[in-house]
Amino acid sequence: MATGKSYKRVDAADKVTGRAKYTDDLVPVGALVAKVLHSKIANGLVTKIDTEKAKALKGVEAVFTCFDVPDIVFPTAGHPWSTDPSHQDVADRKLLNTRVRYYGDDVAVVVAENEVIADEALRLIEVEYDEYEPLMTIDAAMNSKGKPIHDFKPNNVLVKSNYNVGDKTFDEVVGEGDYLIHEDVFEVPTVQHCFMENANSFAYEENSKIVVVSSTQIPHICRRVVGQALGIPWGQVRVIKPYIGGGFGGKQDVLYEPLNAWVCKQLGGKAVKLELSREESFLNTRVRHAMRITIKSALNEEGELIARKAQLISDQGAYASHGHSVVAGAAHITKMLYQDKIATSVEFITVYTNKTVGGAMRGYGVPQITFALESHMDNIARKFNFDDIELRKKNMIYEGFVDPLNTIPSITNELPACIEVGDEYLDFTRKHKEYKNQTGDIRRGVGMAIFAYKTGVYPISLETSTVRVTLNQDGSIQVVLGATEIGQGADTVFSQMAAEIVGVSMDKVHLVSTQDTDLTPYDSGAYASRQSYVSGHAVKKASIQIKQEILEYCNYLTGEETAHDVQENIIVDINGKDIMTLANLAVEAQYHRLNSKHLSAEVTHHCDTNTISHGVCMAEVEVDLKTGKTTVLDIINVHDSGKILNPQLALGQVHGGVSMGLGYALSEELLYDEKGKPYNGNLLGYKIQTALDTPNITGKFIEKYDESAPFGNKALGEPPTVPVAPAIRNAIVNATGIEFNQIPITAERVFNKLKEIKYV
Amino acid sequence: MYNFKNIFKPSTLEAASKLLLEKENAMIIAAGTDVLIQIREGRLRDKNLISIQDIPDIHGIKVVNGDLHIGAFETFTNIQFNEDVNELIPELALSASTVGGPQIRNLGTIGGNICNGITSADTPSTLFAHNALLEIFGPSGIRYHEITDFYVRFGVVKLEPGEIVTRVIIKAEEMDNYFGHYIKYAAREAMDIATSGCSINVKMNGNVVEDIRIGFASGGPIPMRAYNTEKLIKGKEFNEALVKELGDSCKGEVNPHSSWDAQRDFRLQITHEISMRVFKEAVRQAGGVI
Repeated sequence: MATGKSYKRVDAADKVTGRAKYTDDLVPVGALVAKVLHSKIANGLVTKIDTEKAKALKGVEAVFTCFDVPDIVFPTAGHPWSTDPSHQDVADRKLLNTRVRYYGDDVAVVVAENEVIADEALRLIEVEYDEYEPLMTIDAAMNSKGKPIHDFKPNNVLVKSNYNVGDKTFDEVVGEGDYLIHEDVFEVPTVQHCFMENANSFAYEENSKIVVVSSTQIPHICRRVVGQALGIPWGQVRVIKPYIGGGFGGKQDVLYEPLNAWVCKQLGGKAVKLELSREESFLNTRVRHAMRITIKSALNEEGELIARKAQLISDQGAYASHGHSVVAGAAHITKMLYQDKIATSVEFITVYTNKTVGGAMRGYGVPQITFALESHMDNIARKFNFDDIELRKKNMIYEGFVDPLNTIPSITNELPACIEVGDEYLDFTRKHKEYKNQTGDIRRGVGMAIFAYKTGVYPISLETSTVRVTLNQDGSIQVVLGATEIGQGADTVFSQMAAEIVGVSMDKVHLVSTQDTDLTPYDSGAYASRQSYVSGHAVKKASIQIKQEILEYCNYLTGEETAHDVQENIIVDINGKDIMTLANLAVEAQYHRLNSKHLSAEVTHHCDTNTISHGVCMAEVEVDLKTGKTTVLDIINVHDSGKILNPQLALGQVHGGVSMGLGYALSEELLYDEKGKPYNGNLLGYKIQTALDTPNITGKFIEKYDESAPFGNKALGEPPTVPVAPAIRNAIVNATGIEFNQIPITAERVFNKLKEIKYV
Repeated sequence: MYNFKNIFKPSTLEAASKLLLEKENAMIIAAGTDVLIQIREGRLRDKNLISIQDIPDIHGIKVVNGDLHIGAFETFTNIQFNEDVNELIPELALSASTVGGPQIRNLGTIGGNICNGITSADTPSTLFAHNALLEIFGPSGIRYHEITDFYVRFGVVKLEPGEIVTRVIIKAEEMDNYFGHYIKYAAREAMDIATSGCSINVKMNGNVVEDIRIGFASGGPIPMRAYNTEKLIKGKEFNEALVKELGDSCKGEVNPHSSWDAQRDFRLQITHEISMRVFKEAVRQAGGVI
């Protein structure tokens, strides 16, 4: 069994020695440099652009403005395309935009010999605007009487939806009985992925096609969007994805690839590179949606949830991108994580504002709603004196649960065991009681939060993946797939899967990391914690198929029907006795004078299942009431992600996810001035946690085989970050006795609360 | 790629000074941890950069007649780990250790930290609190300037055209029998700028504070001393009430600004708190009874 073991990453040596090639390592010599001119206002209309001085500068090849680009609006979200127009992503932006909708919107592009000249040319462009009032909050946007941000949405609401589970609504239930009632309003901030490699691409024409090499999570989707944005057939676009330095959902969106391709075509196909700075990565890619979430619960005396009502308002920013699907993802967790006895009534709204564009980011709405749900449960437990763990156990998702609306099931559910392990590790129950009612300036607290997370996007969206496995002449196998390695270790885990099923050792598996839409079969890409489940199924099927072909060819060679299995690179019979080596079979098959066969299997898996992964985070903190500072002393995530494919890589996912959660809880927030200009769109002002801010992180797994999965595995890419912020928040509340319903809980926010109660 | 006109690498102070005077739009570049950032952000353009890294006179840390001489080009890392610094003025080593991250500390220099005129810089508050002298080379030779009088306003220091800070000198009498401590408070434990920084050193006579000097980073537009608080505390018996008196007085003496990342009242709270903590630690080191 190759899965389940901590094999070293297949790309480890190349990455640590610097041999691994990223997009910028591949830029052709002599490539031109494109730089984008970003608007200096957040809301308005470009009335005039003077590019004469810029064009006259020596070394400037071309300048294009929002008045030059094709009149085509296109969608950017990294979703599989829908042939049903009502399910297609919203197309609301052009390559460059005359109607400016956020501070930094793209109004012109300069192409020059090098960066310094391109920067200089940007300075020389003069832009005149009609300026409108910036709508920087969801309230300002929804109440605005001025020009809408997009004409097709006059009230700035992209979509408003709701669902109700049960025969009655929350209001009806509450009107009929005498219940414990509690309501909270939570605010979660705009945050950014801070992937290590800034978004960048280069484009050139070859063989009448436009080739775009890009740091993307979704090469096949990128090809489609470039085709749509340029108004050319998709087959005329080729997208190549080399190694990438992180994405976290930020590159599950088509960013500047279409503009890069278009500029290249305007220059007769000359190679043009378009690399964002860190500041542009903050401002001009995507962010996690800020949301305001209101939850009201009705419970009986036993602590059972009878009915809940929630409203989620999501700040989309200037363009739709992933749009309403993110807040929809959040809204659906409300009824998944906990079940109400009678009714769950949820309304969710996505609002355009003049802020940075919201898109996919690790957790896709679920970190936001989980913060609200789990902080709310903590507030209820404190107010009505329920035990934190008991309150959750009474109401949380159980094994056999099937979502009443989207039918996603909890097939295996080790959540109770996860909580038990976390409780024992942190001594949670005892400490939680002990830390109540402390005095003194330095106080400690513990907090917990649970989560539920689906695996992939079925049945909400299409789940499909193709994998090709080929037998090399030496008995090794070649695995080619459209699923992408983005740092998470996908290449390694896919190699383990193929090795296990075909029956070869890990050194006999060759996997090309690069995706090239002209060469690699279709897969939607790395997102939704889907690949090891969905693409894993395709790897398994293709591996089974090629093994069958190997066994059949073995029988052809021996003239007997004895070939039964491949074990450790050797074909064996039913008793495990060697028949021939795979190497011998491979060379015979390839060069056989009478029956040459190039053994290969290409299989598409159209996934029509889904499964829920679960887990818990428990944290212990120390709060310095005089400085407001919170120190996380200890933190543990316990996951039920089914069978773990590679324990060391899985732990890496936990460490990274918890680290992102720490920043979400305590320090990260993109802030804007009243004109819409970000205050802190850089790595100094935006307080992502450093190594010195990070405590020791413990990750544990309760493993149970999930029959719907190719190897018993369930989602693990995104889940680790989901429960961290509420666990830390609840620990801070345990320490201080003060409710914080807004993150990040910075030292200044703690100080402001303490000032209110006159502690400082 | 960076936008600058040219870079010169003189090997003597005389040549560097001459280049600074002669070249149009000239400025000194030391390690570049600040200058290159400003060029990258477009705040500086078309400069003639005068690199001083090859000038031997501005390197080296040594003790001369009990005085500590630190070359202006010495890095934070060198200062952090230098034995003489750690023996004579450990809070300077401590403050150097709080700058940015290891990469910045391996490159960034104490001369640059002083001359860029930034209030939140980590080493000046400690140098203020020890009345450090700056040795300055210029067209008319060498002169000395007290660091406490060196700052004019944000980003501006008292350097004349063609002048270069060559050395930081801390006199023996400013260190002997003084014990000190530094706390930098920032949102993060690394890679950050001081919301407030406080450096205090004391000379104790039994449990009486015989002398005290208090320096602040981010206490106002430039690094500063809290002279009024020093007068208030000097000669008094150390106890908890005195700690509070110091904290309250420091809070009244600093004048921090409100900004998006910290409002004035929060900065004042931090100043109040860390000044008391630094004071206690300095007294503890000096053998005072806490």
